[in-house]
Amino acid sequence: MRLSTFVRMRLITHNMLTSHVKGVKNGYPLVIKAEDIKEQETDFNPDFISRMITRIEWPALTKAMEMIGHTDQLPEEVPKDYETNNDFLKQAHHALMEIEVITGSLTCPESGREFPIANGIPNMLLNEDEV
Amino acid sequence: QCLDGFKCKYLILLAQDKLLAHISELESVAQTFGFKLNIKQKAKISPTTGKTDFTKWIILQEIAEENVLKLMSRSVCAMSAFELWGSGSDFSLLKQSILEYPLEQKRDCFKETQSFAIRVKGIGKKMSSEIQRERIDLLEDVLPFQGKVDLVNPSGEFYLVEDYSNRVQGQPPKEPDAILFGRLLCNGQRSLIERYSLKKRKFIGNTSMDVMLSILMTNLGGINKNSVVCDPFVGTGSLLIPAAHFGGYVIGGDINYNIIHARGRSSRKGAGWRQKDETIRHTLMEYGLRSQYLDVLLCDAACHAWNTNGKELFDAIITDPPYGIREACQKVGSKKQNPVVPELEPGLTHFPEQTEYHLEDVFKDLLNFAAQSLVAGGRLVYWLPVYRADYSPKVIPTHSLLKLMYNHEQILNSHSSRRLIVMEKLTKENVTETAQAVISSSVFSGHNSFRDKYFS
Repeated sequence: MRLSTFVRMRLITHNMLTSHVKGVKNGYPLVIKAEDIKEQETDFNPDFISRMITRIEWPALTKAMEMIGHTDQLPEEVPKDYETNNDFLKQAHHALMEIEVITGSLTCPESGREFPIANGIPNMLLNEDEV
Repeated sequence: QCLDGFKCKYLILLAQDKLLAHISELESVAQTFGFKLNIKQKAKISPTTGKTDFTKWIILQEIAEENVLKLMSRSVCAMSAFELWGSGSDFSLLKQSILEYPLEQKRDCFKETQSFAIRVKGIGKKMSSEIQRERIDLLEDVLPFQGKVDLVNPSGEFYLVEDYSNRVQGQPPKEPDAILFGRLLCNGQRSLIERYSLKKRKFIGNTSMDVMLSILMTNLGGINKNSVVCDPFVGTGSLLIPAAHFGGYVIGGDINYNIIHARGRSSRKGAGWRQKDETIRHTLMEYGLRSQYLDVLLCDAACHAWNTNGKELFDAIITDPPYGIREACQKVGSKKQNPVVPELEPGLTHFPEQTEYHLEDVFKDLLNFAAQSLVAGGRLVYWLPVYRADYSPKVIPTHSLLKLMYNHEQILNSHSSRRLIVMEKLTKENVTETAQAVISSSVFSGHNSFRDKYFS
């Protein structure tokens, strides 16, 4: 299997995914096991990040950062003035958009089922005996 | 600029478009930018075909000029926009209305320092240069330009438009139905069609969407800067390119391992195997849109992994599900009763067996997914393949959380067409959370429901 150097999975994506294993009630958030991580700078768009704050699950993001070993880079809670707090938005931007998992896996917290990440692309397909 | 207290009218020349989606597109773009449209469009029933014919132009009223510019900054159905100076059913009435147009609106254009050009356009009829010159001469007494003529780069560009599109027995009429005169404001976005042409794009597939249609779908989807846009059948990402162009952040899923990982043979004739850089992310990079790419996943739309439990994720879902014609409708599953998945050594991927994904389920799953994951006011835009003899409005899938906005037919061949469906997510009040998608017709049920009829 060729390794593509062009694709990775971001934490913003991890925040939107859940385990869909049959019968699982608490499949969110998925546990990240990251073997290869890269930090890649991307354009900072404060309007976009500010919008995303209301869409994402903040606790899942802080947990994800811990899981990949990036502790203490984010506040526990979203500050009330987040829309205009540029420093906070920059931190959020870094976590959501600039940390990319190349290889590793996402694991269902309840069933333990592993979804591999290869070439930066999470494989969320269940097997034919699981559907 | 339109002066205070005066209500300008704007003429929009439309592109030739069998889909007739121009009003839908303009309304959607207006809604995206937060204003309402008041469109005057003449429609008449053709005496020969019995079908409704629309004029190849529309007039916008009660709209600020900056909003006209906003419409044109997005539209692929509109070719050009003009400040309307005059109109009439014959030439003398046209001249009269130009005379009556307030001088304060025209004065600046007549100044000596302002160069000008007058172009003459016949809709549905080629007007010879002789006739064009004759028309321009006839207008001289109502257009006292003092500046120089500059045909290449004028300060003011003016168009005389004569509408001969209402054919009589297959021929253009001797006299135009309407004559219009206006000052060119700007052009629409049809130039994007060439810029993003599939012919020049490295990463394409069997079903990559026509560029004009993908831009149209983006506009119908209400996508704007900072929108989050998802395509659950992303393939080569052709539908996400215009969304990224207009500032959306794009994410997609597909069940096809080869397409997502840029493996297998290229769809382009003679191109051989796909190369490492044939991915959606690379395509966006080549177009200078790398910042808009979020991610792609290997994901089965029948059993997706998006966290839709009470969380609204997307501003728009723009997609073209498989119909079973050029690509199979597949989901993970096995024909066997108790399939057994082999144990693999670590590092090897199991490619799960796939089984038929019936169209009925494709669309129900898509609507359920949209209803759960779209924000209030967010849109779902998708194509619905239809065997024309079977068609009735009952065929369109419904969901109590989604309102049907538009339904445009594109004919594929004598017996089949596909319909561009646009739905909008309603706000949550008064609607039950447990609502499910419903299709009130059985045309999509069963094995190969569309494919068999398409090839019959």
